[in-house]
Formats: sequence, structure tokens, C-alpha cells
Amino acid sequence: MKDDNQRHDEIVRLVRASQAGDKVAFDRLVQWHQRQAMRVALGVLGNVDDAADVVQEAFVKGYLRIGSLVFPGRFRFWLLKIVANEAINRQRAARRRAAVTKLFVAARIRKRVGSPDEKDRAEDLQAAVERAMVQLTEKEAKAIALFGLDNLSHHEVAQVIGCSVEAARWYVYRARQKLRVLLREYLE
Amino acid sequence: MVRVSRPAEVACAIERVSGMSDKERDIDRLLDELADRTLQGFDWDHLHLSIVSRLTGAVRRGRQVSRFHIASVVTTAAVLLLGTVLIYHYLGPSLSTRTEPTETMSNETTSEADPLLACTDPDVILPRGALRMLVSNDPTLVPHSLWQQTLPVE
Repeated sequence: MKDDNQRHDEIVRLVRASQAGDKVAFDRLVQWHQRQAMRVALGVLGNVDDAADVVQEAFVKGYLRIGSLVFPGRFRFWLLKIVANEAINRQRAARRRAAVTKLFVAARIRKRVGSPDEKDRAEDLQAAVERAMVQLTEKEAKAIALFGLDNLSHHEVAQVIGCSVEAARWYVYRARQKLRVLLREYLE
Repeated sequence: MVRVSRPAEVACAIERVSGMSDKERDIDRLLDELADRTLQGFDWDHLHLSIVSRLTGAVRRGRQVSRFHIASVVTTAAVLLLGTVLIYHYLGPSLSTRTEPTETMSNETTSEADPLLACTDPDVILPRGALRMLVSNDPTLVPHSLWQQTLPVE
């Protein structure tokens, strides 16, 4: 608890320093938050390359807009919101490519139907998750990605998404239901 | 019996009835495993360096944009000033020698010019075909009395 408070105070100090133009301070914030940001982006997109790109873009936007952050203690939610929005924007583009990807993946799966090894199965699962995430609504995708994070309560998820706690729980529930149907062959 | 009214409560109730507890959410486990596997061996240092590189580029671009902005404002002001000077130089003398109009045509109509305006008798006004709103201080006049007149048939 004491460590959490110290970390919170340190984040507030780093955010204030970043707002004053201290690049080293922002660099430290990047180091502390890049894993969570990556996890959220990956949760929405299901693709590590796109997720890494989205995280980079989100940090740049965060740096350029950090002056508008009124409450430095809320940096984490603020940053994760930028990450989630960037990921959703990227997902929209992915949705447009979905038809092409679907054909490509189907061909790839048919080719491997003989003896799918562990690596192929993992790649297929990743592709399946990527396609399944596109089927979710924006808020469902955000909610399920954020709920996967450690130490992020329902209330905090709701804050990032910008809705009530009840609504956030509902989005998570809907996302789980849809994903269970779309990924049923991988759940067995 | 479970009574629910809101979507979140519906979700919770379904989870309770179906016996799906927090620990048994297989889809969560699947997504977690996938994320762990995907991020296993992920080069975090490379990501960090990429972010720093992009930040540096963005800041540099921002400075360039701001310099370009200042330069464009200064150039625009200089061009406007030069244009004004040139216009004054070539057209200035003719503009300054232009004579002011000596007469103005009045289109105002006064009650002296039009006796009808001074007349308040509807019997005089209406047969001539003119209908005007007239202001009167006469307390004996009924409001809107002019509008209640019937037009004479010609």
C-alpha cells in the first residue's frame, strides 16, 4: 500500500515534469506504462505488430497532449484511453480488410489441415482472435481488453471507456458471449 | 426467483444461474494465454526505443511547423503591406483629388410634401387607395379602428 502511494506520487511528479517539458520524465512514464498499454492494444487488435504500432502512436499523442491533463494522478486511465481509442481506430481499418484476411486465413488453414503443429495452432488462434475482435462493437472490444489487465477494477475500466460500471460489466459480458461462440473450436 | 431489471444485472444473473464464476471464464483464460504467449520474448527495449524515436520526430516536426507558421505569418504581413503601399502609390493621387458630391438626392417624403400623411380621416385616406398606420395621441380613437373600416366598392 505504501509502495502504491509512493508510485502514485512519483507518477504525479513525473507528469508535472513532463508538462513542463521534461523529456526524461516522460521517458520514465513510457517505461512504466508500456506493458499495460501493449496489453490493451493487443487485447483489442489481437495482432502484436499492429498493437506495437498503436502503442507508439498513443505515446506520441500522449506527449503532445499532456498539457491538457488536468489531474496528473489519472495519467494511467488517460493514457489507456488514448491507447484504446487508437486501437479501435486501427480496428476500423482492419474491419475493412477483414474480407481479404478471411479468405487468406481460410486458405492457410486448409493447407495445414494435415498435421497442425503447436506453432501453427498458435498462429491460427491469433488470427482467429484478431478476426473475432473485429466482430465486437467498439465498447465491447475496449471493455474485454481492459478487463484483462491486472489491478484494473471495474470502476477504473468504466472510467477509461467513459461509461457506468454497470454498462462496462454489460459490455464485458456481451464480448465474452460473442467470443465464446466465435472461438468455440479453440475452447474445447 | 431472480428478479432483474438492468442489463448488467441480467449479465450477473445469467452468470449466477449458469454457474459461470470468475475463475471459470474460459474465454478470459484463452485470451490471457494468447497475450502471454504473444508477448513472451517481446522486445520491450525495442518498443521503448521506437517510442522515443517517434517522440523525437514528432517534437522536431512540431518545431518545424511552428517555424513555418511564423515565417508564413511574417511573409503574409509583408506582402499585404507592400500591396497597400503600391496601391497608394499608383492610385493615391487620384483618390485624394476626387471631389466630394455637392448634392444629395433626398427620397424622404415629409408631411409638407404629401398632405395625405398629415390627414387622419379614414374617409379621405381609404377612397384614395392608401392604407397607412398612423400614430395618434387622440384618446377618443378606438384602437385598430382603421383596420375595421370596409373598403368602398368602386
